[in-house]
Amino acid sequence: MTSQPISIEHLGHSYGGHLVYRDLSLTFEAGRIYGLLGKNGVGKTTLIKILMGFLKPRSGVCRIFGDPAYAIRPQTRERVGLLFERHLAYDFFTISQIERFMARFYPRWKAERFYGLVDVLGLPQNHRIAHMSEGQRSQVVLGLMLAQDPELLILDDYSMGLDAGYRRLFVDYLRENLHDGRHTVVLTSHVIQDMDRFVDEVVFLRRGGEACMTGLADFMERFSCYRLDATFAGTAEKVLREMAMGRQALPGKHLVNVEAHADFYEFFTFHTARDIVEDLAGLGLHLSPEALQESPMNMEDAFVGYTGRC
Amino acid sequence: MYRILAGIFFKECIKTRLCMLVLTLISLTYMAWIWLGVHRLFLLDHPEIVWYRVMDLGQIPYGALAVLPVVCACIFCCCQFLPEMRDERLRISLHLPCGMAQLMLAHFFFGLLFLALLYLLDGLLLTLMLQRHFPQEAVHTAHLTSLPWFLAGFFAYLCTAYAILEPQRRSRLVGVLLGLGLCAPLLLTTAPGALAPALPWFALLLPLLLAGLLLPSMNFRHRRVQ
Repeated sequence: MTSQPISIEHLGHSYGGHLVYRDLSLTFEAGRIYGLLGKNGVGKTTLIKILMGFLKPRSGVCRIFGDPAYAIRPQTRERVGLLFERHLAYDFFTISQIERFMARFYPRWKAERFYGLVDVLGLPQNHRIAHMSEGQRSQVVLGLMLAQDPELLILDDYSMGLDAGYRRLFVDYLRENLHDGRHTVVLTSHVIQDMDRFVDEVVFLRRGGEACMTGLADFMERFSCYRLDATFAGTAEKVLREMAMGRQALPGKHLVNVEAHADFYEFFTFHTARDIVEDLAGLGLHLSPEALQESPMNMEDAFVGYTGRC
Repeated sequence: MYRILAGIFFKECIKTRLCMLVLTLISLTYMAWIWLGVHRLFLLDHPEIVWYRVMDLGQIPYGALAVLPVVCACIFCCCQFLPEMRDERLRISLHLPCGMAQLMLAHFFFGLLFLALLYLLDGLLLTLMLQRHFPQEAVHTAHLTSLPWFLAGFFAYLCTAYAILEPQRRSRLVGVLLGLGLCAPLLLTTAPGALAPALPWFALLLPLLLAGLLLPSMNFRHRRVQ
C-alpha cells in the first residue's frame, strides 16, 4: 500500500522506426496533481495508454501502485480511475442504469457523489447517455469516477469537446473533490490555460523522449521570456530565424528556445537576461542586457515557449 | 464470479435487448414460414407420398432452417461486440476490478446463453411442427439433423467474436477462416442425421474455442499500436 501511485522506470517505446521514448524515468508522488504536457507527436497519448495498461511498452516498466501497468491486479485497478478521451461511456445506458452497472464492481461506491454531479444537469434518471451532449456526458463520466473514489485518476484529454462553461465546471469539480492531498491525478489537455487552476506539477514531454518534471509555481517563477526588437538583431537575423525553425543549435547553455516574429524575437530561459546576452555574443551579436525586455507569460505562453511552436 | 456475471449480464441485456427481441421475432417468423412450407406439402400431395419422401427418400422439408442459427449468431455477435469496439469502449469494461478472463468469459457466456435459448425455441417449434404431421421416428431424425446446424451457430458466434475482438487485421482472418472451416462441414447437405455420430467431437471444440477467444481479448488489452 506504500508504493508510489506511478513509477516509470527506464521506459522505452517506438513505433516502427520512430522512437518515442528511449529511457524515460519518472516518479509521481501521492496526493499531487500532475499535468502531462507536450506538443502533438511527443508521446503523451502513448504514455497515457501505457499508464492505463492498454499498451505494453517495448522496454522498461511502468508501475501503478507497484503493479506493472499492463498486468495490474483487480484490487489495484479498484484504486485507479480512468477517464478516456472524448469522455467514453456506454451510451446505451440511462443515467441510473450506468450507475447501477458500475456500483456492482466497486465496494466503496459512493452513489451520492455521482448523483450530486449528475443532478446539476437537470436530466431525468432515465435519460439515455447517447442523447446527451459532450458536456453532459463529461459530467456523468466524472461522476462515475468520483463515486468510485479512486486514489489515482488518469484523465486523457478531459477538455476535448467541452465548451468553456463545461470545461470550467469540470475543472472546478476536480479541484473541489480531488485537491485534498489524498488523490493523485495525472491529466492531459489541449487547453493549457485551465491547468493553472488545478495542477501542482507539470511534466513536459519533448520529442525524442526527454521529460522534465517540475512544480508549476516554480516553473512559472523561474521560466522567463525576453523580447528583442528585430532592429537590434543586425547581421544575426538570419541565424536567429534558423534557430527559431530548429535548423541550427541554440548558442551557449542558457537558452531553452527562440521564437522569431515579424518585428521581434523571443528568448526563453530559466536564467537571466545577462546570461542570454552572453550566449548571443557567441553569434557575434553584442547586446546590452537592457535591449532584452522581459515579457509576462501565462501558462500557455510558457508551455509554447518551453516546447516551441513547431 | 457471481458479481461479475450479474454485472456483465445486466450490461449485455441492456445493450442487446432490442437485438434479442428482433432475432426472436425473426426466428418465429422464419419458423412459421417453414411450417407453412411443410403444411403445403400435405396440401399438394397425399400424406403417404410426403411420408415416403421424408422417411424413405431422406428429403428434409425443414432444410431452410439450416442457415437460421448461423445468421442469428453472426447478427447477435455483431450487436454485442461492435458497440464495444466503437472508440474501443471495451476498455471501460476491461478496467473494471476483476480478472480479464472472467470478464470476457462472462460476455461470451451471455451470448451463448441467449443463442442456446433461441435455438431451444427453434428446436421446440420444429418438434411441435413435425409432431403434427410425422411419426416420432421422423421427429427424432429431425433433431439429429438440425443439431449440427445449431452447433454451427455456436461456432459462428465464437468465431465472429474472435474476428471482431482481434485488433490485428491479419489475425482477424484467422477468426473468419476458422468460422468457415468449422461451420461448412456442419451445414453440408447430407443424409438426415448423418452427422450425428461426429457431433460429440465437434462439441469438444466449443470449450477449446471459448478458451482461444481469450487470445484476441488479450491482444486487445495489451496491443502495441502500429
